[in-house]
Amino acid sequence: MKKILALITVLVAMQLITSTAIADNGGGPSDLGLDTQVGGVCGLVLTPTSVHFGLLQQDQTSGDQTTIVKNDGTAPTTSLEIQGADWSPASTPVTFPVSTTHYDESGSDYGSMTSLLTTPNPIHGGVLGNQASFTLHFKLSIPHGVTAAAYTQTITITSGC
Amino acid sequence: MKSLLLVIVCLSVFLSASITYALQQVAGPLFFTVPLGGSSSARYGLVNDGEETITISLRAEGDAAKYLSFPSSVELQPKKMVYTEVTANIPENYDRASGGNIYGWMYALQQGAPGQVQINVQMKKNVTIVIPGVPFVERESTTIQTVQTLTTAQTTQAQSAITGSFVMTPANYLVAGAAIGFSIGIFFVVTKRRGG
Repeated sequence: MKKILALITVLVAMQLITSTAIADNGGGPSDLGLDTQVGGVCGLVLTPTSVHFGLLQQDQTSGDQTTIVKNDGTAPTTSLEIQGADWSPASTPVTFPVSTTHYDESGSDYGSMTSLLTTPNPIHGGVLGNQASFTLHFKLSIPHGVTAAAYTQTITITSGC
Repeated sequence: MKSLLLVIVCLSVFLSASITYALQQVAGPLFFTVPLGGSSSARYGLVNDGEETITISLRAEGDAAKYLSFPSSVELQPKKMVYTEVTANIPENYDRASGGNIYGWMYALQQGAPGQVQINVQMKKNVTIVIPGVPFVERESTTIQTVQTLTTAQTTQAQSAITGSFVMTPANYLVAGAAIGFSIGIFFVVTKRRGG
């Protein structure tokens, strides 16, 4: 048992150290072509990639939900945008608007936050430096008269460089 | 037995914290020079910086979209850069009045985790097609990123990504130090148990 423990320890340490190295060299020289464009890579990491507002009543506003947006690449992004889709249930065609979801970078009052739209809108000034990150806050307010159902929504965060 | 349990719990927490959705792309626009009736190819570099194999959906938008061909999806292994070939085809009967400059975008979409609100990760790439001999026309162009003014550190990192060499950043030192410290701690526990 002790030997197995020691072996696990060594393997885990090696995995952690090597994964750190691999993550930074963009995949290793064997995967990189000669015509790689100058400027490195820009990346987008979301933690988490889904949020949950829970069970809400009509006219009720949710609590704050967040995701951390990070550029884990070596180059800054030149665009950073957010867009969404209408809230829709699985069983019926009834939806309620995407704009009932609000977002910002500070988690302020629902009314002070920006409405999510189906068209892309810049976030964080559109630029995120390499290895930089920020927290994106979401809140939802259920409109009056919405049919009771389990609704879902898809949000897309787009980064360019 | 308690020490063993502690080690297993610590390992689980430490390893699960490193699992994330992470998509990267090579910086710079996709640029094609295509003669009438001809074709040209470029490569779209994508990296899965996460821990699991993922499938990315590719699509194009804008005026250039109808001239581009590429696979609709691509599988990315963890920590590997994959170049996907994108081909621009300009027909012989191309309407010269449309101009010799065509713009658009390519998108690589990674689905978020299923949930009440699924948040997708998407990379966007500017595309330019130039047709020699056909006059340019005034049109709304994509905001093309040309040359970034990089700091010394950014330049070093960018060169590292291109050559594949490894540069230790402060964050890397921190993670590597934590990993080594963690390992020493576990060794200490194991040694103590063996001695006791």
